[in-house]
Amino acid sequence: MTRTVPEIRVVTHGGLLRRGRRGSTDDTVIVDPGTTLAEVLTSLGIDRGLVGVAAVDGTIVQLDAALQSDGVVHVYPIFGGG
Amino acid sequence: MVTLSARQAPGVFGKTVWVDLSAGSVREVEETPEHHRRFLGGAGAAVYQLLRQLRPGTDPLAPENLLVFAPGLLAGTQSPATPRYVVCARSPLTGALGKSDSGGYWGAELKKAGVGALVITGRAAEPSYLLVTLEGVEFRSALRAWGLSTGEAQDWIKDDVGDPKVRVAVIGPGGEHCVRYAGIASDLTHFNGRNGLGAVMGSKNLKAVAVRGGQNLEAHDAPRIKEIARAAALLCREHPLSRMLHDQGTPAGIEATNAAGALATRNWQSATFPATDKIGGAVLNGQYLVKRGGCYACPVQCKRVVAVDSENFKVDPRYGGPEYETILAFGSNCGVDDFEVIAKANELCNMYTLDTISAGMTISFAMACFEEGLIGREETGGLDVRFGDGEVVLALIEQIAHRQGFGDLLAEGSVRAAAAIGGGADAHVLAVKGQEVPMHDPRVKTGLGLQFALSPNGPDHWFAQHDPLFAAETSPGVAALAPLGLLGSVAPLDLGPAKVRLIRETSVLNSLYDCLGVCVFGAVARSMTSIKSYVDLVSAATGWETSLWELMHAGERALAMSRVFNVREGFGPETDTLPSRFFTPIADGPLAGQNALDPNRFAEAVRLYYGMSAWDEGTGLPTAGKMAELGLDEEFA
Repeated sequence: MTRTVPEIRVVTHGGLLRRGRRGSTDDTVIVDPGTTLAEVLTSLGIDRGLVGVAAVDGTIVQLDAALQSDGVVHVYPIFGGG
Repeated sequence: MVTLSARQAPGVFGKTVWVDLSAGSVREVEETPEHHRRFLGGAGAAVYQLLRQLRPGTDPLAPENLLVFAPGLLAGTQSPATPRYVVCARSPLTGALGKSDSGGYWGAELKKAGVGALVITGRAAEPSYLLVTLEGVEFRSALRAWGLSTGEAQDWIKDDVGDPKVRVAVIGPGGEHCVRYAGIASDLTHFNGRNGLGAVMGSKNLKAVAVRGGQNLEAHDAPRIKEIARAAALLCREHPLSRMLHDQGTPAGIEATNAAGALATRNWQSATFPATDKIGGAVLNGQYLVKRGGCYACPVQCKRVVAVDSENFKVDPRYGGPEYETILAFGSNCGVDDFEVIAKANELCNMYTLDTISAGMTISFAMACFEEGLIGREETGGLDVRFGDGEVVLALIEQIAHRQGFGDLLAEGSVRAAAAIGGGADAHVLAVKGQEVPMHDPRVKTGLGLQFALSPNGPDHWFAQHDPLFAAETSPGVAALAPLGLLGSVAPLDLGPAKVRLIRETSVLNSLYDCLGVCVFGAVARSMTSIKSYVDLVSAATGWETSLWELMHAGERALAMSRVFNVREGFGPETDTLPSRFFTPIADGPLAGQNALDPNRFAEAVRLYYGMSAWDEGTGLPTAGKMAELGLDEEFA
């Protein structure tokens, strides 16, 4: 029997991970159903206080929301004014 | 040359130097120690001179208007991220207080020339520039520089002075033609952009103010300042917000704002821009960045320098690169999805000294009017002024700067242009107190809405601190501003007492920053330098035994004077509001149909800010008790 495990690809923007000058880096993590985005961020070493917006397919998601299906989560840093 | 008294060892305060361009005279005033302690420098020193010396009702473009350049108290010292100077006058765009500050090196250089405030009145008989040095102030002809772009004029002035290290604050053709939102450029890449202060220079036949100081300031405890600066430099590498500012600059906020469904798009008719990936921070940093730039004694170095060398465009990196505001103003806001067009628009505005926010917003206003049929080719000189047409954007910038064709009307700004067009064109204006709003949507940041409404110099996105910095308990602003008594998080959409308190206290903090010359990109809550550090820096610079309490009162004093100035010029409580667009739901994107600000709740929050500030709800003036508390009652009550 095959177990279905959501594969969540997390793309961070704006230098959150500081890997390369372009500022758009991504990490792929595989999580069990019900894992929250906050837990994913913790696993990547990203302070949740630095996250401004997270979105899946153009829909804003809360950090404490459980991730339930395959998808790409875009995570953007806090923007405190330009 | 008008020789002044010896200023061989300039201190941190500097003298007040008055220049009368009509009379060709200069006089200097040694302000009292009490004056320095009450007003510090920067905005405090400049607004004080305006309020005390400018006759109410003065035409902003008349010779009698005062134009004040004032570096912050800490500018010119080695204090970290304190390069800023302010320029003030009665604004030709708004009629209210004109106040625009800039970073760079010019302010520090003015202080090193021994000047704490340069107050200019009158009108020169012919185009002129001032050369300010330790030896005095020299009036020089600028006949040969008039009509030149900022870069050409700066080159000419450096040759004329014979010193390549002279720092030049200069206007381009936009200022000469008194475009109501013309700014002032220093070193070609730093700008007093807002409020039309470049037009005031133009009205005075003043092409530039060139400055050469050259000596380090004598601070009370220079080693202590260096010690704090070294610690800040180390912290800058580790503090995540400072690091991201250095690595990505302000354009990194574009993608985030689009994802949040709050990107100013097509004159704010839309809130998302599908082509954000073509204009955002990633494309700038990835394809066009040639180097980073920064300001005097700043470890952050957040500025971007870009170059374009393509078939269609050449963009000269000496004019720097577009920031977040500029990219949106000419990009999504005008429906333009080509970064090279935006970079070119930025270069042109820097060459001609046009404020990129007002220029972009006025052009997008015209696009909305054209697409609705309120204006046609007859009015635009044959141009199809439609969203998305980058060539039209560039053509209109040229016309505006030189007041040619349709650009002559747009040079008046969107409010006056709407009045001239009529037919409901004002529905497409997004302005407060006559000035176009910056690229932040109050419907996702209510505190930002309060900033737009309450800032005395029209909508100013740095009147206070931004909501997201305090959104959650883990947000960086929460711990950073606890010394102000701001404890705990406040949700971005909150509009209750906690939000008003946050904006009230941080507006006083930011006013203090404006008096000290602090850049918000180097200081908490946006960056790394702590509030306590600034108290220590002021003590080290001046020798005062001071406190946060005393310094915050100085910030509040500058705000109160600004308020008195505005009420005197006819800007009462009725002007402390927002464009009607922000009281309607967001049109599309992830927040479609949501987030309309409630006008009654917003007005209630404004009144609560008044109450916290001890401003009279009827007149908008600080109460007699507040004026007395701030020590302003005898001079300005």
